[in-house]
Amino acid sequence: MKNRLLFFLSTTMYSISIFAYQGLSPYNYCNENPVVMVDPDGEAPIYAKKRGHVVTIGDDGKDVDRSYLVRRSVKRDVMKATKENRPYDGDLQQSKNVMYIPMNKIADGVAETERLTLENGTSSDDRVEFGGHALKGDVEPRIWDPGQRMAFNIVEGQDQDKIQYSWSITPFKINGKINVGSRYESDIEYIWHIHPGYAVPSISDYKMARGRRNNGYKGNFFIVGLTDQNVVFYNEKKFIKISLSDFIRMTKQEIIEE
Amino acid sequence: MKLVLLGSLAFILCGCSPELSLKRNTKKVIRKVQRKSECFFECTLDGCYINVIWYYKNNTLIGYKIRPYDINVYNLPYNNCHLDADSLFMYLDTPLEKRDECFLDLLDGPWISFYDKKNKEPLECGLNFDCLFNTKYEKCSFPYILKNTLSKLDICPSKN
Repeated sequence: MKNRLLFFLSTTMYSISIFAYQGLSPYNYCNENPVVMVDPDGEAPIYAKKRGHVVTIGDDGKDVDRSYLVRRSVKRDVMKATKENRPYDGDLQQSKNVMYIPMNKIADGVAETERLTLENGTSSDDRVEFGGHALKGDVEPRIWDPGQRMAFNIVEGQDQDKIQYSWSITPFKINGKINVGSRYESDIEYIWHIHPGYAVPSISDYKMARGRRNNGYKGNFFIVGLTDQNVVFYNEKKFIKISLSDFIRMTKQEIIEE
Repeated sequence: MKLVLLGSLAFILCGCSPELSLKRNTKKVIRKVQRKSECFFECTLDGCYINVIWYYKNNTLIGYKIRPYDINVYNLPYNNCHLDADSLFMYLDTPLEKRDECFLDLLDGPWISFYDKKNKEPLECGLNFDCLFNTKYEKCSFPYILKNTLSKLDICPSKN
């Protein structure tokens, strides 16, 4: 019961960025504790969801600025490689089964958009969305112009007016201009946005994913939900949900044991 | 027994969720409209639980306002303008960086889709209502007709 209450409090009374407690430092890889934990080989960890929780299931044998969240056939192959005591040397290009987890300044960019969303209102009702993207090789994130909250006057039965709200954000719009041409879409590595409410992709989010996929984007989108403290990776059809705290650990390439 | 009860409960709860009901109702209307018209429009309003589907036939605007638990049908006289295909494609089928400000793709928020029997996939893009209703468009252009139609279907931005 006590745990339940704490969980409830931590999700609904949430008003300070969870990222705020965990700034990046040279010892992020070992959870700020270089004496106890040592990064064994500097290789990028590969994570997967097992029984509802994110765990480290292997590594890619290379030192790259990202981690991976994998599922289905890739997950099976990585686990097989780890069992055989070797790094996974199969395909880790972004796909429906391979999601990239950003690190360093791109991860800071996700934290920054989360902070901006939190600070522009007092509750999920009056906050607007923020988001950003990064191209392959980008060191700095590209943070979009703030989203907007549209109010609609929708006439209900018996001619009663009802005002309803819809949140939205225009992807790639930076300083009033669309920052990415469609021919560059295959160069995009990360696209994310922050939901002031729950990390649940909307119909438009799926439509957007379908449109980008048709234009050459191979990766997945992700949403950080402020109310439920979750992160959802999704493409035009499927999604996978993980906790924000696990996402932060993955951005630091921490080893997460079962 | 427990499993059966849990399964039934999950089925009932899922079946009653507004998102799923809206999706189901929308699919039902799309199937119905596909039998009646070669092409039609759909506007989804994320966050408001309302989708609108409409088409034009013999100077009549036939519209469906779909909510999770009801569907309203509109039959309204419409003889203002003829919809020009070039104007439609100019707004919906243009690369993102060249698109009109009000028709940029959106994450969350409203989208408009154009279904044509000739095409497998609908043409779709985001729709910034505030921008659309605050911009003056040429008479009988696609956005002009769109604005007119949405107003007739009682969906427009609130000034509040």
